[in-house]
Parts: sequence; C-alpha cells; structure tokens
Amino acid sequence: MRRSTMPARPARVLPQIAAAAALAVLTACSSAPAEDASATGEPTAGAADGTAPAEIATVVGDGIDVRTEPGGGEVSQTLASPNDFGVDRTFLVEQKRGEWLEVLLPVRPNGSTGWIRSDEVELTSTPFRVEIDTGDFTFTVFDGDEEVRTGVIGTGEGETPTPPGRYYFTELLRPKDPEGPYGVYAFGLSGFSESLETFAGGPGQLAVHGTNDEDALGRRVSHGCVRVSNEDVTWMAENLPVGAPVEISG
Amino acid sequence: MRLKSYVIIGVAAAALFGASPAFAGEGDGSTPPADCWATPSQGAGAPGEGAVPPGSDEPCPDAGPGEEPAPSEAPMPPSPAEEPAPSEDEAAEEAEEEAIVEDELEAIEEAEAAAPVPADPNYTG
Repeated sequence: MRRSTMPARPARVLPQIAAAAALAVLTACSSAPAEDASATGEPTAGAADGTAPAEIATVVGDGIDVRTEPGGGEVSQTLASPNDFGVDRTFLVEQKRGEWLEVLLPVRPNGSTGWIRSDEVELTSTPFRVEIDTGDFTFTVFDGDEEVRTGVIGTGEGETPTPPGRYYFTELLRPKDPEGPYGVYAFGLSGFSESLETFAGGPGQLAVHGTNDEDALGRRVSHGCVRVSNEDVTWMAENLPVGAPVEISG
Repeated sequence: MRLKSYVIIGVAAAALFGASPAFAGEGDGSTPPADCWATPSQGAGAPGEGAVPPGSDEPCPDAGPGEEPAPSEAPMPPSPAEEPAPSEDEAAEEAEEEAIVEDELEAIEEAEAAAPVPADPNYTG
C-alpha cells in the first residue's frame, strides 16, 4: 500500500487546559478473533462536498444552546464548553443560513445536527479531511484534492462494527500510558457505537487512536474504534485540527 | 337530323373544346375550380417565381401574400452556434459561487493542529 509522508509541522505544545475529565476505569481493549466480514453500511446522507475546506465552529462561552431550526425554534439541548475531556466544545459546520450555522452534533444518534448562532462561536477552516474505508482497512488524509497520507487500520469486529457515517474529531488525547491499547494519541470522534451503549465506563464513543498491537491492523479487532499505527496517529496529531471531518465507509 | 345525333355532336364538341358535358341529374351543373397551388415564395400575382403545377394557370382566388406563411418565413430553430450553451452558463455560475465561497473562507483563519490533552480515554477501543 502506497504511503506518502509529508514533512511534519513542528509539534505545538499549547498551555494545557485544566482537565476536568471524567476518570473512567481503563480496561484493556480486548480483541475478538479476527473475522473476515463483508463490507456493511453506507455513508450517511447529506455528506458535504469533501473537496471544499471544512468550517469548524468553536464555542467561545461556557456553553451553547442548540436549536432545532435556524432563527429560533426549540432549544433541543445545551452543550457545555469545555467538554468532558476539558477541550473547547467544537462542531463541524454543515451549512450556513444567515447568522445561523447547522452543525454536526457529538450526540446520539450518529449524524445528529442542530442550529447554533454564529456569534457564539469562533469560525476556523481546514483543508484536511480523513476518509476511512473499513472494507479495505485503509485511511486516507486529504489536503483539498491532494492525498497526503494513507495507512492501514483495524476496525470493529463482527458484533461491534465501526458504524459508517460522517463525523469529526472532537478532541485529541494523549493517553498516560503510550504503550497501552490506545497508543500514543487518541482522537475522539463525534460518533458512537451503535451496538454498545457504554464501554469502559464511558458512553461508547468512537475514536481514531494508536495501538500497542500493530499486527492487529488490517483486521476487524476492535469494539468500534479505528486503530492506526502510532506513527500514523502521531502524524495526525501534528497536522490535523480538532473539528476535521472524518468520513467512514465500508 | 335526329335529336340523338345533335346530342352526340354537342358532346363531341364540348370534349373537343375542354368544357365538361352537363348530364341531366348531376347537381347544378357547376364544377369545382381546379386546385390552386400557392407557391412558397410567391404571392398572388407574382409572375414567374416558384413552381407552378401544370394546368393551373389561374392564380388562387383565395390566396394572398400574407395569408399563407411561407415555409422560409416560419421560425427556424436556432443554429447550434447561436444557441446559448447551457453548460457554459452553468459552469460560469458555479465558478462564481466557488469564488464567493473562497472569498468568504479567506476571512476565516485556518485551524491549527490539535493540542493534545493528557487524559485517560474511555473510547470503545
């Protein structure tokens, strides 16, 4: 498989945010026997044009109301900022309508959207997007139309598949044990397992993370997360922003 | 000379000089006019233009210059060169929309790489 390595940008170590993370029991990521599973699922409807830069909305206050319609409407939920991991709340913008933004929400069910006011967030953009093919066990990072990185992945096994859909990175964590099952870095995703309501004391959130078992890459081994090599996730951590879109298909 | 002979002679004379013989019991004796042919490029009274079928020497009494449109005057479909290319217009509109989007995004800063937060993940693994 072709791999192209771009010169990494200098690592940025920003002042650490006082973490108010919910501590959970960290269980080892038990691996089910590798299975040869046929490709399932299709991308969710409404996937945006992947070639255009994606817009990212970061909440500037300590919370934000999400409404069902632009220009008002019922408040469906209020999301706090920072999130449970102490990271500023971020959304992927799907469309704009005047002063309102329709954003992808990091809540169940996967693919949920809502409307927020544009004056309550800071907007940035990114040309990067990640495409994950669970059928081919590959990921590809694009910078606009240019493929800049590709590699092998491990995906969810039979009873806990990685659900296809459109997501985005919600935070970047550096596990305390870099030799543990999450590897050196873990990007949380806005999506959740569709077969697990909870996992390891958490809400069953999906992620793209490194691994301490690279022999398992190229197989269906996880409980829904996408595993990549530590080298690949390090490159992602040095180049991709929180809010970058991730399309999973297979 | 007998009447029968006069009739025969009359019929022969009519046939010789182009008239139609009138037979008793067939209408009022009038005959429909010969078909009039209006030529495409010829109005009534335009001598020498267009094809005139043989035997129709008389101009059409009902036809006039403006009463029957000439095929050449009928609206012609635009030639391909004159017809606007919808694909070019659509491409121009798309290019304009993309330019607008690009202008808007230029005012938006590019997001920096993520800042890693030391924490214990509880993802599905």
